[in-house]
Amino acid sequence: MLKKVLVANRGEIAVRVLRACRELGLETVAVYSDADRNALHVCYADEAYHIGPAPARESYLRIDRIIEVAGRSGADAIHPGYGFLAEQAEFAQACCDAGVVFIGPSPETLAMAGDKAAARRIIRDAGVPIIEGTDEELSDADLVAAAHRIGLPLKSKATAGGGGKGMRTVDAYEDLSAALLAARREAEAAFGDGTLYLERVVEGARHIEFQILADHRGEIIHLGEREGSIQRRHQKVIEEAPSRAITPKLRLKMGDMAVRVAKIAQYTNAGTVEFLLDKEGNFHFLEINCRLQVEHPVTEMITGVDIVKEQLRIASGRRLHYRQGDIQWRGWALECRILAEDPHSNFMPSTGRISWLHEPTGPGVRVESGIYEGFVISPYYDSLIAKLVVWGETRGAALLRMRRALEEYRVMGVSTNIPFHQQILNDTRFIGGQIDTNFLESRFSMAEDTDWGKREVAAIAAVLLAHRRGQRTVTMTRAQDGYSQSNWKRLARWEAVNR
Amino acid sequence: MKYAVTVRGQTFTIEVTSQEGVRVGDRTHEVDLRSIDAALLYSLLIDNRSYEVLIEEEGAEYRVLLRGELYTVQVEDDFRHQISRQRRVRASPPSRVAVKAPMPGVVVAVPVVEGQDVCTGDVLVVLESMKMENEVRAPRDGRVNRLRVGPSDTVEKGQTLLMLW
Repeated sequence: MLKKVLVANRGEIAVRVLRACRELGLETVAVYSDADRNALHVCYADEAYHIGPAPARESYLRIDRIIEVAGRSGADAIHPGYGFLAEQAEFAQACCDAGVVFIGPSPETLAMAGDKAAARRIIRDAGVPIIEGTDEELSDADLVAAAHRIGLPLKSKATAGGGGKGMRTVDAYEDLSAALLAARREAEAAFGDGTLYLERVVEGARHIEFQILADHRGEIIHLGEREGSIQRRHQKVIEEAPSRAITPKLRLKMGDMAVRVAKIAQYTNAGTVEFLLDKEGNFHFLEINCRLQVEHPVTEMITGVDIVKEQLRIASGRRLHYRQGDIQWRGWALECRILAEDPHSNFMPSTGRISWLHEPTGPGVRVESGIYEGFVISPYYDSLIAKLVVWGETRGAALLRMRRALEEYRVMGVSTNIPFHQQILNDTRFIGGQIDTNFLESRFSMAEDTDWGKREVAAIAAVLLAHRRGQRTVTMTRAQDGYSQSNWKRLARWEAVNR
Repeated sequence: MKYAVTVRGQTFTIEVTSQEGVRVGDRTHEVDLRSIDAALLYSLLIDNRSYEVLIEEEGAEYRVLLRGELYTVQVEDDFRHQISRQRRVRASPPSRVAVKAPMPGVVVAVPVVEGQDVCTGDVLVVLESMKMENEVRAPRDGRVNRLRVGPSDTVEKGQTLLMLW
């Protein structure tokens, strides 16, 4: 069994992993950049080591420094979280070379799945349906040629991709070159690799993904599906499990397919196989995510499986705790990603000090948070500050619970997308489960306000306080007059003395 | 005491009639605002309807968090509001505007050059913040002047990037 785990990440996911380690009695090591000395994960871990300046490229993406800290602290395993180095084969290899367990799949699996165009080829050859697109590294000119073959609309994706970086949807051929340029630049900045591939956009499709667990003895199970169709700028905003679109029969079929994909990739540890489910109910393989996913809690809520603890168990060479038959799904779970951005001014990132914080609690509510009151949100990293997860016996109960929890959430100091979530949760199409990956982009717009009465309440609250402040200024001035002399008297005395 | 209170472009005229009363337009309400934590948290009763609000003050501006929604509220006394409104009507639109960084971040690209004529909505600067690229667009037609930033510069929120004449 492992003894000491280094978490090579920050924010809420670092805290999530640290918590699992603590529950298992493992010692923990955090790493931090200049911007994160006071971050929650640093305070929470048993040990913390500085690894460089604020920009991720000089800190959280520095393989050499992280490996060096592992050696210095005596950590026997590294958990990469998601993002940063989580899916980099080079990092997994460096861990291996240093004699530290990488909590994730092997470098070979990472390399195979990490080249998303190559992965598409391998998976297609194994008989799994994929979406029409390109499978090899192409120049911009070749991509444009391929685009004419595939047809519009289409999407550019980074072969090293994830998190929507390098993704652009193209609706007209004349926009293609500009889109490729911007996508390459974004991918280059995010992954240090600007290679792109193209995929046809499947209209009206839902994003369905299957959680996989695989141990080192070849045992692979799935934990059912999650739906992540509610996306903005290719980033999931709300996730749920199970999905309204999946029947028990389809779950069985897609689950088997996901396990098959994991077998082909010789997958170990926790991962996700992503599919698109089209309007006709056909599914197409999208990609393998070789990491713990942001939205893993919704699966945990309905299965009772602690995925991070399973990761740690698998990494220490132990057998899976569950067999496929043990996995039962109960109720419905939803997750809202709480982002530091202002939905009322075009989702502009919002930075600054959290001046007040109250996170929702109560039955069926779980908050995965990376912030605290007084914490300063910097512009250097992702805007995800917390995840709000709820469980309910039915989808309806979960929806109502999420609305209640969002209303209880109180963050002051930075703007958050909570009002955006509230509006989505009030949308009849979302409530009815009529969603697809284009829902937010094409059929939903953030309304300025839904409730005019609320504006008036806010106005009254502010006016009462302003009125009180005005009165206090008057009283305070009088009180001061009583204690000390007026300036006129003081001036007269000064003049008398200096005459 | 009468106040002009502006929330998201809408102005309410609110009169504080007593310790426990306000008049909004022609409706009167019984109100009770109590500080809960001697900091930002208040309990507000309006005609016995209970609201929990957070109020943060910054000069004449109040940021009010109410059931998930964050409002920026400007409070002016009504007399001053009338004067400033007249002044605003008289003032002509400024001939030069400073285009400022809407957030802190790193400049990724500057697709315009000094002296270039641009139209409303043209991309002037691409800023990266929180891993996302954000485009700063021209608020109106004009000519780029005093371009002060270039790629990989770090900018603070509110920093002037360039002027439009």
